[in-house]
Amino acid sequence: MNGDRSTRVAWRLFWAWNDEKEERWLREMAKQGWHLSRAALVRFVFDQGEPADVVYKLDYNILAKRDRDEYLGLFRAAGWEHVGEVANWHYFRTLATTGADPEIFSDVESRIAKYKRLLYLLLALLPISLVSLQSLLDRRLAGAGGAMGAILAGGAVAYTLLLVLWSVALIRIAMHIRKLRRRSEP
Amino acid sequence: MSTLERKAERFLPLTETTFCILAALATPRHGYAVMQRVEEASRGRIRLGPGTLYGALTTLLRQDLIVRTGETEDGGERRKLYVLTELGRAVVDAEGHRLVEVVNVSRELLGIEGGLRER
Repeated sequence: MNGDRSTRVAWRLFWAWNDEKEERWLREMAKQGWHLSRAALVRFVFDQGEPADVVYKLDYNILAKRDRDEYLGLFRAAGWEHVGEVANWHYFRTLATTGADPEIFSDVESRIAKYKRLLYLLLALLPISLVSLQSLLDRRLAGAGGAMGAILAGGAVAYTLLLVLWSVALIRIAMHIRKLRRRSEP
Repeated sequence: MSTLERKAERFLPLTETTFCILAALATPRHGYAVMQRVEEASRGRIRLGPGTLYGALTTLLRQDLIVRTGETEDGGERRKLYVLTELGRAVVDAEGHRLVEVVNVSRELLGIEGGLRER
């Protein structure tokens, strides 16, 4: 699948609750002969090869080292190539077949479970972020002046923005889960 | 009703996916063998995705419904084997009985004798 003709780098940001869009984009790229060789959050490296209809699927899984072989082995046996991983997101691909598109999840419960794993991780890390922000603000209010004060203020602003983004992510992922659940109801 | 049966009841009802995976693990199998066996037994109707199966195995291990029981070599790869625990066995039995009961009630209500109509 990977030609050695040339490579191309694309920068794109996809939100975690919108990974189906990312899957569709990767498929479109493959149809034009650009096959993913490395993904790193926002930086995608593609190798040029023959255009092909390749289905990409993303899974989110926090794997213990000892479970890794088992996890990847199961996907491999089912015909999926592991292209890469970034921040617990695993990129898989397989050639499209006639009929329905291949899926890595065969029921809605497991599709929802994927987003729940992500949601729980974000929730678990939230208190840590809040405590960090609190300590930054405390030191700022304790009267750190001059350059130190400015750095602390900058840090507090950055942290606040991060927390806002964090909250948006939590809400959007929860909404996505609800949408999947609704879609599955008759 | 024994303690084990009472404990098993708490897991019901199972999703079709969970029920099939558990039933396939009445004998020790590796993950991919579970996929193949379920597809075969359902005559191609139920095709478990690898993400679905991996997630289910992880959950069932945590719930003590299955255990790992060594490894096997298949297709040049080492694969972990899984099998039902006593509790897992009780859960499959309980769900099996529940489903039979559902079918029996449906037959009674629909006034069907013998079997459901062929599709």
